Amino acid sequence: MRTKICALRKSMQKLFVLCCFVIGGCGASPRSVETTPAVFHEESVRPLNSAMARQNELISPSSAVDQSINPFDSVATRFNEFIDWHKNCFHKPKQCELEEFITSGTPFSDNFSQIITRNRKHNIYSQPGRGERKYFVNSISNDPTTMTATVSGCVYDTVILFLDGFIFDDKVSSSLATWQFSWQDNRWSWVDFQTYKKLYNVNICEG
Amino acid sequence: MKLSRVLLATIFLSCILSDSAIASNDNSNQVRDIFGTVVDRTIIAGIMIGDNETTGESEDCDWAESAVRDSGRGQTFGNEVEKTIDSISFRLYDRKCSGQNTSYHWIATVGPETIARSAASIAYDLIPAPFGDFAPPARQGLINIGTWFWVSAFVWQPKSVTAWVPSPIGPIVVTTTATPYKLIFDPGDGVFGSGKKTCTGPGLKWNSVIGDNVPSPCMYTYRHSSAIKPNGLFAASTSIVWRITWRTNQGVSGVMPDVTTSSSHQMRIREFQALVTS
Repeated sequence: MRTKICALRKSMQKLFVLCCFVIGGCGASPRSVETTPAVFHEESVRPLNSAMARQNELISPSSAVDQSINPFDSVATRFNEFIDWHKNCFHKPKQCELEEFITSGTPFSDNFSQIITRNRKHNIYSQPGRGERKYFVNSISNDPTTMTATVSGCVYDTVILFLDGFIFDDKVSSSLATWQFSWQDNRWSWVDFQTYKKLYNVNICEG
Repeated sequence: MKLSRVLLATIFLSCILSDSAIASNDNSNQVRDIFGTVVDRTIIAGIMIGDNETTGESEDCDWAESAVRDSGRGQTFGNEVEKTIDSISFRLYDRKCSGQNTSYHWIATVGPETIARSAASIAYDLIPAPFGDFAPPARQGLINIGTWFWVSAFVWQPKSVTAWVPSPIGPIVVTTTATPYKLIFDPGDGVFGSGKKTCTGPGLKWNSVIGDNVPSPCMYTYRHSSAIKPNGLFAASTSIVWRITWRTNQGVSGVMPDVTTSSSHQMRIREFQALVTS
């Protein structure tokens, strides 16, 4: 009897977790950015926006899931780390550890590596306080079958790139985008980035 | 247990449907050339983006090529005014605006065509997806009755982007314009139909006053029910072909390859049977 109860409890837990994955994955359309005022700010210290908080609530009820066996619990934290890493790679390209977030050998990673390599070679960098990238996360969808997580949102980019101390690129843009992460070697690696709409001189992320 | 399975199946199904809808929207926003290849959208640093059809630059600002200088700090940077990065040449310029400190900018040394290409890359994002409207509606089509198709007048508008660079002889300003000129409907009925239908405008919006017997230049008549398809639907699409042109403030102009944007539609076409008695 006790075995049956335990089995039932386990199956209910699995069902709950699975539902949570799915509900988390079925978040609102990435285009409805204005409905979620969640903002990631490069200069801020690990802000936890409402979308991510919601995801954590859904996916990792502490009583139901063991953190060590649910990688999706760490997507939000990892995305925060990614934001910092991305910022630092453009601020100090020579100190950028590419393998921290990307796995070489894919077209995407090679493309990003080329940008950082170019910036290292030609002394192209960003400066603190001279623009920022503001992230607006609309939803995080998880796919347990492929162990991928996709962050959908918007990024407003006012970062100024300098070349040898002079302005190299000061375009202001905002993009609707997705960042895809894959679970590799017990951590989330950044494997793809897609922009679906990119406009210049306007901020489509807010209002 | 059965209930759990049903619940799971329902949630999974709704998720799959939700995701595919998002994917469809995203794909529809991709811009392809006439060969179906996704258009490259590289924007070159050192090319400025204007505001509507102007540079957006204040008249109080002057641009001039920087003179060779020494940073005076014993550093290696600061004494070069020309650079080549990824095969593109850059020249350092001083930007002086009244009441402001001078700022220094690397400007790409490129011709109008390259500037036009950058502007076009931006213009592509202004092109809306061509979501088609139908009468009868997509899921209520009938054989042997002309299906009108059209896109909204809002979609059928030219989109322009201006990009520019300063130069020793003044700014080179290039405006690239995407102009819709063909609306194509692929009915998705394959060998059962007469192929794609093309018209040269956005099509006429149908309303009930027009009635059922008036033809439209953008109209397709299905001859077979979509019941022959496993899912009972024809996979149709509407596409808009955009002509890309550019012109400079110095009177030079050019044409770039057309691009096409598409959206997909699932058409349910039924046979309508009536008994006529005399």
